[in-house]
Amino acid sequence: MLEIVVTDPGPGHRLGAEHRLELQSQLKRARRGGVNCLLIRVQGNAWAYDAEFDREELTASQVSTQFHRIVVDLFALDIPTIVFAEGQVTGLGLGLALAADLRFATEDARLAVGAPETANALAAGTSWLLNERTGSSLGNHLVWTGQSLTAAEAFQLRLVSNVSVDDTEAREVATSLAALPSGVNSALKRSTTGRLRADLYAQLDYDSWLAVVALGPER
Amino acid sequence: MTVEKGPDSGQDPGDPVLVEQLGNVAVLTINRPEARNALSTDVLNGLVAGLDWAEDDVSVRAVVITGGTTLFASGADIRELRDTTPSRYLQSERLKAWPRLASFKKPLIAAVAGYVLGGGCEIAMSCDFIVAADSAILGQPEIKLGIIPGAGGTQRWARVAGRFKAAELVLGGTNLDAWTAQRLGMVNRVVPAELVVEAGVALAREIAEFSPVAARLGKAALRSSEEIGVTAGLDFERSQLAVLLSSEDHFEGIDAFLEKRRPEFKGL
Repeated sequence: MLEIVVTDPGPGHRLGAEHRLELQSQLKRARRGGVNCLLIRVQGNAWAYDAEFDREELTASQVSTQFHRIVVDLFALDIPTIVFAEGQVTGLGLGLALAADLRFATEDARLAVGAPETANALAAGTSWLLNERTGSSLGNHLVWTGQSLTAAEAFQLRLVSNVSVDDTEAREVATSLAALPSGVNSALKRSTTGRLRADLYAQLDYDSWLAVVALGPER
Repeated sequence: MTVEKGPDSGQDPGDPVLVEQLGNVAVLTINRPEARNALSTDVLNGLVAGLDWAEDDVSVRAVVITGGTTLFASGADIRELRDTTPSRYLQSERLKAWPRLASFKKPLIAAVAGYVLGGGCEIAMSCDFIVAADSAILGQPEIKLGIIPGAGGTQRWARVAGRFKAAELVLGGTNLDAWTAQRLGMVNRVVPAELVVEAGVALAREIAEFSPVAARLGKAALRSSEEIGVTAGLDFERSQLAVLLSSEDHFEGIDAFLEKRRPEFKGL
């Protein structure tokens, strides 16, 4: 099992460029082989992130390489991926959490797309991921209202697998999955996500341009 | 987008086709909004002139054909068709556009929005890539006028989408939205309408970074797949590769790869 601990660097630095690169590098390590399960422990509000863009300079390519890439890297890993969250998970953070196969949370966790005017849903593939994980009715509601879900609410909606006081259960599940034959993990992962990848890539491609419409230069 | 250079400083904003150059990409814009970009002989002649210039200018490595962000082309100019006869039609100037499009040697990208109908759809299908706006509606509605496509609609749709799906368009007059067209493999990318021209130019710029001579021969090989059998096609492909092995771009490409740097293709 590979465990990534994401520490909270504090406001203004969460999931910034440097932290995204670090996470991508860790995901690359997971992709190289020899890892049978990935557990990402998100401490504090490390994944509370509303992407901000320089409106005049924003391009689809930037959205794609700086944000979508990392969502794809996580979604397309051929091993089970688990996120454990204990704080706010918003914007790109929610996109990443949804890109994982399983989510566990503490009672203090909060999940939100972010206010509609931030258009976070476009920067993180969140609208597609939410619709895929929960159905379009709830997904659309969260995108349009920016409503924040408590961990208990997220559990009711099956957005998280369980709510607990700490990461014990998440670690137990990760350990047991890591002990499975790698062929089993790889096959199950591809069964659950393989055919969806093309849809996700197409959606992200479209979203990268929509992000420019929403957040780019005034036209 | 900023126009960095235009090939013809005497261009009139009322010209039926506007031509501009953005770095190594040329953009030809159908410009007849008062007639929903209906493809008159003037429009087709404008496209031919633009393509001729782009082909000759070595600084142009790829071309985008567009109608702008609202509309591509609603089809042939019906009034011109109404008043013609078979012999006049077969000898008409407007027919020059189609072989010109088909023979154009550099990568051609159609960036289409709104209605992409009839001849408009045939222009798009003559290109190498189609970037469609989410507003794009593609179709061959000629049967509703008592005629059929005459510039490749039947042939290209059947090859791209299969005869049965093609029949829905050609015989049923059905239109397709961009997403359906993408699922059929006819559209490469769907983007917001506001940005379709930028997306077309962005794609053209990506392709323009590659070896122009490889792009040219690769295009010829791809086009040959629509014309000749597999065995002959494989021979042709192999011969095109053999030619490229003597190009400077080929050495530059491989050297750049081994030296872990960006190649600079000069098209030699």
